[in-house]
Amino acid sequence: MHMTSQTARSRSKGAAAAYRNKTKTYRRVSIALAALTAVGFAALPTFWLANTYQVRVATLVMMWMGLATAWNIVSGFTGYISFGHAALFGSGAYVVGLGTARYDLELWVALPLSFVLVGALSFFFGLLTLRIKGHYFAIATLGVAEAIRVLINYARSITEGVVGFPLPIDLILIDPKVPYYIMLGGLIAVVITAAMILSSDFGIRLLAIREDEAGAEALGINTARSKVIAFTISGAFSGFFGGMFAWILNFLSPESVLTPFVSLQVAVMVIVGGMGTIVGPLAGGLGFYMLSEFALVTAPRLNLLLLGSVLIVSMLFMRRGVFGTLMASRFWPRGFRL
Amino acid sequence: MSDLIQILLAGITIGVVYALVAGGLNLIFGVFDVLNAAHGEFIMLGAFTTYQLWSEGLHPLLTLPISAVAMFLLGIVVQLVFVEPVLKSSTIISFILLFGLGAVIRSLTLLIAGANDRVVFHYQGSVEIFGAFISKGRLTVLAVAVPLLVATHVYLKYSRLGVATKATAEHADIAEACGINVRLVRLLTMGIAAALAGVAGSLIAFLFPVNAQTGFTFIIIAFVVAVVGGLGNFYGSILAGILIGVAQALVGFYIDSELSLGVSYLALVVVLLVRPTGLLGVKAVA
Amino acid sequence: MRNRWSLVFVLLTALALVATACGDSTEVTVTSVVTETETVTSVVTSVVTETETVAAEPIRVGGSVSLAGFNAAVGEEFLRGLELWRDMINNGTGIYEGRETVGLLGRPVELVFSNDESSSEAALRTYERLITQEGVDFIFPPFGSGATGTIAPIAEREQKALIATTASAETIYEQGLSYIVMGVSPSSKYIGRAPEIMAEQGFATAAFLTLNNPFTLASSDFLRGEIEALDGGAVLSEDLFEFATNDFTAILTGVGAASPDVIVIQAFGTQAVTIYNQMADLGVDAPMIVMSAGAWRDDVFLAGAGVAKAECLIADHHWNPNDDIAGNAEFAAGYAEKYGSIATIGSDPSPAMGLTYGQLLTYAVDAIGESAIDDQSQIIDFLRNTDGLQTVLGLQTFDPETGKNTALTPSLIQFQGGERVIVWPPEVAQGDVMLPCAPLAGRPEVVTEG
Repeated sequence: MHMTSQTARSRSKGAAAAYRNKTKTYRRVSIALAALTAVGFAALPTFWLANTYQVRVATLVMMWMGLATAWNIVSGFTGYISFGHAALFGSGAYVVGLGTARYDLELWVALPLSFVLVGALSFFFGLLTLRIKGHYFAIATLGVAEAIRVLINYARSITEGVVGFPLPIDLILIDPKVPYYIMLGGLIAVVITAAMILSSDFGIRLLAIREDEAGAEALGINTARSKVIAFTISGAFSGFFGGMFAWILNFLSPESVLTPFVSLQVAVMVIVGGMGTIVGPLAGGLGFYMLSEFALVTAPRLNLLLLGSVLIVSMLFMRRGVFGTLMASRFWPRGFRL
Repeated sequence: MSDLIQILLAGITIGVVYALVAGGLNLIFGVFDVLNAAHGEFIMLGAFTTYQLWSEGLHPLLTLPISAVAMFLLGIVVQLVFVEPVLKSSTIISFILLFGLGAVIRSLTLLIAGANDRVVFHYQGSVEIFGAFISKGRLTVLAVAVPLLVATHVYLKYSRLGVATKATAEHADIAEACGINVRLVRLLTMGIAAALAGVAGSLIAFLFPVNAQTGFTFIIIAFVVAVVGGLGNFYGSILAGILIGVAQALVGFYIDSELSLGVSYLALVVVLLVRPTGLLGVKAVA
Repeated sequence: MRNRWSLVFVLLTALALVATACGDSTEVTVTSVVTETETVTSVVTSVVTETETVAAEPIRVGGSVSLAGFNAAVGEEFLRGLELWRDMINNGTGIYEGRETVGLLGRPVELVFSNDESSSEAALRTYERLITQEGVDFIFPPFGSGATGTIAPIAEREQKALIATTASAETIYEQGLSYIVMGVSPSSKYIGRAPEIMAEQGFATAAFLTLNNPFTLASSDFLRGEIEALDGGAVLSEDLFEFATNDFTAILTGVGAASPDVIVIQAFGTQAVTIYNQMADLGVDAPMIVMSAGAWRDDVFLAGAGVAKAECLIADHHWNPNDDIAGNAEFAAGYAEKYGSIATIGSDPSPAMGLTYGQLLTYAVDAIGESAIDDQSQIIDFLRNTDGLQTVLGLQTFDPETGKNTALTPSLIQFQGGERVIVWPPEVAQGDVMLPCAPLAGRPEVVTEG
């Protein structure tokens, strides 16, 4: 059809404006949803949860959601699948554990310390492993994490090795609502960080690495630096959550925080939830943990069976994860990125 | 000196078992880019097959071909039902799927067979070589594993299907264009890898107690061995397997037994730093 | 649909899963186990006719049990001991023959548990849930020092008395916890008196093979001190290994090269068998071999290593169905009636640990009364300050400050002719120590039908 240049221009102006408005609305909607969820979680202990067990389950659920989001920052955004996050998580746990039990640190010193120290550890971990590409990277992270576990076990005089140790009594006796709210704070922090990364230039660079690393390099992006930064941020948060875990568990041993199973569980949560999205790790963390708790209570002998089946089914039919598939489907409004 | 020989023999024996397992992993990865997280279960089921048949009166060596065939068939079934549908997706998807499958198989085994260890008592006593003792069980393992590895090499290099496998590993599309039935090659590869793992499991049963978790503990080291040798490279896993097996034994003896299991991880880190694609590098099945 | 085969398989699996979940009645997967209806009815009838109290709400005793994983075998036996106690106290049979009230405080005992699959973390979640959500009245311990150490802080926090009859590692009781009591021998005492035999026989040097586990580590720590205190005593080598270790060639070759007078093996179950058999295969030997915990079960150790190879091995002895201890005969009879002959478990004290827990709890609750449930510090006070309580593991007394066990002293047995003969200490010895023996490597092999 023949269009005058004037009508064409006004049409495109309208379309562009409409698109901008749509994205703004979507953004407002996602922020509103997020705020609503945060308020919901904040109100949970007072209005909904009946006893300490439930408060602790809720606290742990939030921890896994936060851990999944942190993992997603490196593995979901850059595509470098890490199987070594257990080492970062566990190191954070040991920073808080040893800090409070052995070096008499206050909790409000030990927790930020876990964030910082493990951040530093992650920096070097990333520097070491991120030069390796593709599938080798995943197994390399597993290897390095296991090496760290062996070392922590070996340094028995400092870490009590396999035997483990309890945290100081006064920490154990703190009202469970306190760690709940601190965990909520940590979760909000990591989600905001992830969201901000995703909508920033840095995020675009990370996604470019995932799509085509060679191409990204060709465009002049310093992929090594971006990857390492992402890994550091991811690791720092993982360390913080590890520190929280030590506090909640009241007892620390390599078996509870440093096994490859922890790394795998986080990866599974995110992949089944939807890698690269914000809500994917959250949903995956929530769903997976509730499922495993349910399985542990009602059918303890079947829990591995149940979890394995869930994995098989979701990988066969929902390759992008629940939210990944959902957001790519016809029913999902285009451009609405959660 | 005899001590050293003893240690080396033990290391080589375990190394050869690693090689069987990692070799299979590498074949699978080399041909169709899948990291088989359920490979440990082929080991475990092979071991259980051997135990079951032995406890009903069959000579352990005779259980080997049965275990191999059973795992071969199982491998093909797994490939058809679980792996073929997700081939076009990224490796992580198939990895998680197979990990889930492994968990399911493990828990089913636990439910049906229980948690107790199973030991095949057949091989007892040892033989003395130059003052070093090697148990009859280990000798048997060497006597079976080494020829098996050689046979696989011969198959890969000289048989039609073997050459087709190598071609598919190198470039699947072109191989298909040349008329090779790529799907058949994949099925066979998974079957053979599973069979190798099954025999490895049976051999392990000759030496140590096995239970439903045995495969899982083995597979972590097997992956490390596969990577150290060069992912996708069958010969790399032989080299890496033996090196790591011997290194574990040497470190356990000369340095500290507590660190011997950690040697494989150390080797991994060192190799990946120096040669990021593994010792024999380059994704090449042969 | 990418592949119809996957769909078929998934549907079949889903069907199978549903079938398993519904039909799974033989395994203990439910969280509460209630005694048979008939027993409850008969208990109710007898209570109504004999006393004035009506059997109302049951007393719920909860915890986690290791029914899978590396503690599966001993966990299962521990549960059997617990269930036997529950049956006896609810029915007034066995060791509670002639008991006037049914159960505890006139209420029947109900066991509530989950399977922790030998994982400390699962145990943690279970105890958390059982105490705060299910509101169980009392808790029984999980199996082993590792798990007990992990849940002890919860017991402390929730002020539930933890009568730990499965945790021997002394470190747990040195943390200043006030809700714990050690109802089992300390790890140091398991084979802690072996150096006395060494001294008598003129042996001085030793090599240790120790599993990396709280209990075995504590035991080795203690032994090291004792041996070094001997005249010319020295520990020539110490090797640590994991549950996953199955190739002991490196360790054993080193031990052989050191040529110690004594080899000390600290391992459990089939791993102990593996070590023993590999020792024989490699020609590694010593005039005296000592093992802790690994040689408990005839059906595992004797069957695996063989009577010939086990000959002369010295091992710890806590309890045996034939021991002349009050309550033991009734215990063995009750076990035989419910589970079959107790002889197959050899010297595995796990069921006795389960029963002992029940016995100690009963003593305390009987003495204190109703308030024992809400204020469990009374239970701890009662136990820690007792002059002596008789259990099937022996007479028990505790340190008032820490709750550590002060009375139980295992003896040492030696395998002689396939039998366990108590050889130490001299006061309770049934026979003399037979040393040295024929070299391990030359002995006949295990006879199997395989």
